Amino acid sequence: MLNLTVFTLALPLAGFLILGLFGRRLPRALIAWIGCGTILLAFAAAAADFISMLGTAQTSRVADTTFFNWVASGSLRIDFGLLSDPLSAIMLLVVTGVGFLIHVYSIGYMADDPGYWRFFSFLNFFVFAMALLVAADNFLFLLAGWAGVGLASFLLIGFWYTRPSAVAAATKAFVVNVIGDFGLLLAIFLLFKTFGTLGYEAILYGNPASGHSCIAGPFCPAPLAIHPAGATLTAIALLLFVAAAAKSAQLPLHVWLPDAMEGPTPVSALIHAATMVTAGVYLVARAAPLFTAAPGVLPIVGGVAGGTALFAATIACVQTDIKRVLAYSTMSQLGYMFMGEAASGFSTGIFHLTTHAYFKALLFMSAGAVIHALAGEQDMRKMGGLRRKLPTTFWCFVAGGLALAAIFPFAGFWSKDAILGAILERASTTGIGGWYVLYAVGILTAGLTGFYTFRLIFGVFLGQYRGGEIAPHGAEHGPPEPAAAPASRPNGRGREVASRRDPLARVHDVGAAMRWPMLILAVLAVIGGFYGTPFSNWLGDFLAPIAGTSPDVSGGTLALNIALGLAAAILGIALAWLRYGARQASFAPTRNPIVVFFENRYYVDALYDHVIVRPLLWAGRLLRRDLEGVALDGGTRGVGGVVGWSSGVLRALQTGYARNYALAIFLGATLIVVYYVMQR
Amino acid sequence: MNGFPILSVILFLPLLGAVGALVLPRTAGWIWALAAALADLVLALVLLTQFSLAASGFQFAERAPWLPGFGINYALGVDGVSVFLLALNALLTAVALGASWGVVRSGDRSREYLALMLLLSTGMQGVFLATNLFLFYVFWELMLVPAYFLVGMFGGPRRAYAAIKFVLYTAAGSLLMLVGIIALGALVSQNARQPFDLDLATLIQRGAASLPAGTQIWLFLAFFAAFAVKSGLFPLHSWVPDTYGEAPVPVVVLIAGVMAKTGTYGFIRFNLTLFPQASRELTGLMSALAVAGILYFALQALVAQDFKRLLAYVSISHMSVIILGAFALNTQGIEGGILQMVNHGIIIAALFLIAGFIERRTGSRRLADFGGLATRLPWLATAFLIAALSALGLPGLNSFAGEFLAFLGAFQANVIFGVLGTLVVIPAAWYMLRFFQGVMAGPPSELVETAGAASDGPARARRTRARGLADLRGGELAVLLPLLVLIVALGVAPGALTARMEFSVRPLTLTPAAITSTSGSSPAWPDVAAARHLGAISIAGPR
Repeated sequence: MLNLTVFTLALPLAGFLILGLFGRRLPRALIAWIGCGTILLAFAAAAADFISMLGTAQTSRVADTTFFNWVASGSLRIDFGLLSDPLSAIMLLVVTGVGFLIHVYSIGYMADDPGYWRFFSFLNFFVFAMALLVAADNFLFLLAGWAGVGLASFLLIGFWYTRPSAVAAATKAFVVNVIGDFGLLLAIFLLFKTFGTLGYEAILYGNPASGHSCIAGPFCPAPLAIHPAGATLTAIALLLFVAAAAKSAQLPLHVWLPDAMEGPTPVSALIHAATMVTAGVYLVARAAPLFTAAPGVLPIVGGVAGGTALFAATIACVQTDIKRVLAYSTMSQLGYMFMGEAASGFSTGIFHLTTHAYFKALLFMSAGAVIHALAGEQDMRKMGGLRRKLPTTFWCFVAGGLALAAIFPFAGFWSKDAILGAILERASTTGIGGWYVLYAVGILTAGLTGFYTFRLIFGVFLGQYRGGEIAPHGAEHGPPEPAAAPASRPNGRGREVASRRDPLARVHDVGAAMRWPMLILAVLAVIGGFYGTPFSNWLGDFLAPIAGTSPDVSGGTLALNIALGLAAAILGIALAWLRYGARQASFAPTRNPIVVFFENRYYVDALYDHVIVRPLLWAGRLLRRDLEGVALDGGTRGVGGVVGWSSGVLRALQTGYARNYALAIFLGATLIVVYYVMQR
Repeated sequence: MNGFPILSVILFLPLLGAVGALVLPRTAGWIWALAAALADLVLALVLLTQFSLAASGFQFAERAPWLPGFGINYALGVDGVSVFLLALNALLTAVALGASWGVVRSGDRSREYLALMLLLSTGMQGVFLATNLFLFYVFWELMLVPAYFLVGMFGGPRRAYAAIKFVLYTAAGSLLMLVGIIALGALVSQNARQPFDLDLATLIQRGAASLPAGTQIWLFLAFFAAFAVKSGLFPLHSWVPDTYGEAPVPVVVLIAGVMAKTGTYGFIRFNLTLFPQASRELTGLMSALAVAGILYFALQALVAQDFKRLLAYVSISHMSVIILGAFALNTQGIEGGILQMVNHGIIIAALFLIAGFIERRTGSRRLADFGGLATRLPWLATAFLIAALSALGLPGLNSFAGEFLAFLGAFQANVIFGVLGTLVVIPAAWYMLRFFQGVMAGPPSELVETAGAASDGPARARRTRARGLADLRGGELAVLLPLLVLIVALGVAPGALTARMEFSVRPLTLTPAAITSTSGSSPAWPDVAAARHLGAISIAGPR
């Protein structure tokens, strides 16, 4: 079996270095070619791996290549190695495939930005780090990729670095993600302490051929010789989930994701929707044997995930910034993925990860097209009626929206159905009430999803335009520069000529570089779920050696689940139609306390600020004044005072005094030595 | 290498440079000084390549009687701990001298300045090379004198205060160590009924490591006084922010980059080696102080307003990580500590240099004055970002490897200390980004907009301001680039360093009994597990 994964890493890394070092002087066309070309080649390498894997027997679909020893210390030995197995193959295809489309989209979206070279350089770095994250064959290099994507996210959120809000959001994202890194570090320490190694093969899967074994469980051909205590496994799994929650914006570490929308929209599409934020879902699937063997962890994962899904969906219903609606939607959908994993349907989580990558990237791209057309406007209260002006964008948005709302037969329908089915199956087999509650949360969230998605679509595209006149575009872009002339198109239609003050006169739909990626993703949003239907679950079978088989859903459970899920989604859409579609959408401020509570994001940010950030800084300042300034410095300050006084009196002799002082110490020390030595 | 006294040459080359710098005209003196430092670096690198990975004990040892009646010899040697520090010292000396062109050009006592810098470098090479305790002490004090003058003569407005504080703290610590050295020599020679001798190898051979635990603890504390002050261990750190804040940047590069390491080096070389039982009994205390420092200094870095003081706290927070790792008393912890000494030296030097470049351009180092500097200095911002990311522990850059091993070791030894120490990654990201973003990002501040036009301030600042806000210049890049390259290279392949530590670190992880039984003999180390077993018995027993 091929393992060309190293090219999937090396090419984007090369692109990053070339663009980062020389990009400033390169022509834009070349920057675009390098930026997109490296990712396309990386995708080709991932595809070659995947195809060769399909031609291999299911039991031997693993290729692990070790490149060099990173560090060896005592019994610790960490090598840099890349793994090609079904899970990493799927992830690499998504990362490089969707990544490539978003790179191409960026050619159009960022065309007017002075930081064009920087943008592609960072984007290439992101793909490198993400590929490292999913292709590493041990937990340490997982952490390296994990932190690398965090850095890429930081750089790209703060891409327009003269905007205070972008800078604050970037720092917030990085610091919150470091909390996750902290969890991952501790998990690694505990893994090493427990297993004496950090390799996936030895810890998770076992390899009878090389004499390794693994944790007992459904995935393990040869159970581990060591039998770690259940509590240890639980601690490891929970620490891994802390990392996953931070990266994938789950409660209570979600606060960074909505703010991350400060970054350019292609970044939101790639990093904060399609790929990076799903790293936590990947980690849980990767460590499925650990999560399965650790007592009591999966219910916790389910609880957090269900809470997040509902929490985020409620907030998405009241947001007016179109990117923030999508950001909360992403949080909510990530909650779904973890819910599926919590119900032991690890492959359903990955399934939803892939379909979500298509339709959420599409939705962000479409939102970006709207924002681009409206010269940076993101507030849906100032939109409306854009369907006429932006037909391609509108239909793409609808395709993505139907997939997000999980309407048959769009991609999201199949994957959300698989997740909810796994939970319902789990509930009916175990008979534990908690799983039924989780299922109810899932159905409720499905209804909310339909509502907020179509509230967004109706609010933006239907009704009357509610905004002001649109300036030439480019206003979204960073450091001010002379506005580039928009590609002028004659407004030859009679109606528009008649209304010379049409505020949307200069608005036009997307250009080719943005249109084609959107159309491809729109197709995937429609058909992208067919590889995981309940009737022919190709993806589930493909991932089974790594993620285990998902609960088998069939018969009455299946029918009930589909009916409930669809009914909830359609009900949500219908409510959105009544409120925002059938008549002119109203976004007038409301005093409804529940809405206000949602609008303020449950006051979580304010809570963190008042309970953690401010007290910490206050304590730091207090200690600086009282401990640093008085207690520790008091004695020497007295001496300093004496010195200051004497230097005032003996100003002329100050330097001499100091020299003598040092000399006295030196001589004094020497004399003491001599004295002691002579005494003997 | 046969017969060539490479260690003595490494030791005295900077001194030769100092003499030249004193007598030559100032530009020639600067070139001479730089050449001496670079030659020293080349030799230190040759030493690294010649250093045997498979031998234990001191290599390239040189020994000549000095005052044999008093047990004082001129004894030098390197092992897998000191060999890196020699190279680090040589590198940072060259970097610091390279960054000193401004001082030299101004001609303000530049000969003395260069000579003192090189004298400091010799003193530190001596500290790392000496294998006789008295010789060690001589170099230890020799460091203090040039450092004092460099701070006191060339520092900022509060330099006199800073220099006095520096001397008071370090001299007090040193004197206690001197008492400890003499007491140790006396006790060991008394026990062994042998003449007084302060050679490290002789002391170990005569069973210094198996002194009664109570005695060991007193001796440990005497050495502790000197080393804890030098490495800025909580709560003996008060001199650090003042000194780093006031001293000129090239001097801080040497003090924070290398001299602070003499403290952590001392802990590993003497406390762990000579007082293994005390080290084991005091590991809780040492770890607690280290953890307190790691977190407390991080908090202070978070609220600092002057970015040189901020970096001072960053520096000692990281130094405390080294101590935490070393007193985990296991392979990963100690090797991580040693690795981190090298890494920290490189990073803190880069950060202080960058801080200096920023201050030179704008005349300020108050964080509140800054914002948006990256719009005018993109390459400096890039270099700063790389150093900052390494400092906050980004995997793939050098600091991560050392901190990872140190925290891993600490975690193996004691979960609580390990977890609390590792916790610092969160405030570290916060304070580093607060610094970086605060200076480089955001809308350009008034200072950044007007820098280059203002005319108040000292003459030196005025001259540099006249050139406006130029991005990273050739000379600046030349001193920064080697550090940045090392930040990446040592992050990708830290194994190159840990491979050379193995035989020097292994004895430190053994228990007192095992050390005594194998001291000074062939590298036939006993089975580690068996040794631990023995050690458990000897610690449990009465002293």
